[in-house]
Amino acid sequence: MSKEIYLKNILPLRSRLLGIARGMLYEEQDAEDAVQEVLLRIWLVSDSLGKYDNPQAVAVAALKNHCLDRLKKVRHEQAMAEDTDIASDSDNPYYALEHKDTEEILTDIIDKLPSLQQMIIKMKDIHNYEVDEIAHITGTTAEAVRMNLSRARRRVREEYLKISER
Amino acid sequence: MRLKLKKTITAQEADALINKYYDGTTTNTEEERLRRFLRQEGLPSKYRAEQAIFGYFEQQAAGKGRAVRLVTVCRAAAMVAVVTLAGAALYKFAKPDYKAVAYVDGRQITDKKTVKTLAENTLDNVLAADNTIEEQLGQFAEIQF
Repeated sequence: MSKEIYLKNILPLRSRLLGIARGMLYEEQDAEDAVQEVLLRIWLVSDSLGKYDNPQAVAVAALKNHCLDRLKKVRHEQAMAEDTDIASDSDNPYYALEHKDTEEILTDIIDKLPSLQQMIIKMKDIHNYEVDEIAHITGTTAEAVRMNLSRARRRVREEYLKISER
Repeated sequence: MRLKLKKTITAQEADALINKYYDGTTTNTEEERLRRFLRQEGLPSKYRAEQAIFGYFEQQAAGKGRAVRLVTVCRAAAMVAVVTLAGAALYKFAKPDYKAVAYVDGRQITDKKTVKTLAENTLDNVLAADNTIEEQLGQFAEIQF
């Protein structure tokens, strides 16, 4: 029932949500990523959608908050050093000792992925959603999901090898 | 008729699947085949990253499921308990005839209207705490992923 509410009430809002995101974030890809991420998050809590009188309003509010968070994050990152390397901690010789455990290393790497890539890699590799399912939930194309998934997986491998080779 | 047991995939097949994996184009079935290959002992060191990554995800899949974040749920539950106990401390039935009595800052209050107002205020606090739990559970459901 709750998934039906999502498919009937939330997913059809996609183009409206994209319009709002474009207006706040300006960049097309950023807006697309924001919408996908918010839709995925709402999907994951869709069991609780039934208690809202106006689930569409919840979706719009969630997207606006998400866009604001992204804008704040961009401003914060601009104020910090650019091109932060995920493995920059590993320049510290103690990092290799502190994070010997593979699970810790990989958790750390995955937690530092861009949030949409993080969600997609977890849905695919932990929760065994198929790419087509993720695309259906987010109202996007399988190709777009594969692109984010590929980037996430390659980054995880790259960072893992950098850290584990120390 | 001889039945052929399905062998694990060859190294060549595994290499092809690994490329597909990083392209994001493997299906769940192909990933399971790759997983079985990587579980083998004595594989060349070139597979160590994939062994670590696949092993990690398998462990996460087995461990997490739909686990609720117990720490924060307990914190929310503790908050309700504190408010409820605080509310209960405000009014106490001192006599067997269950005359309504309230204690505020150690002072006994017996005026029915005042006791009723205090009791209602306490219930409002408990309901507010319930909303907080609901809010928090909503947030946890959102982030437990």
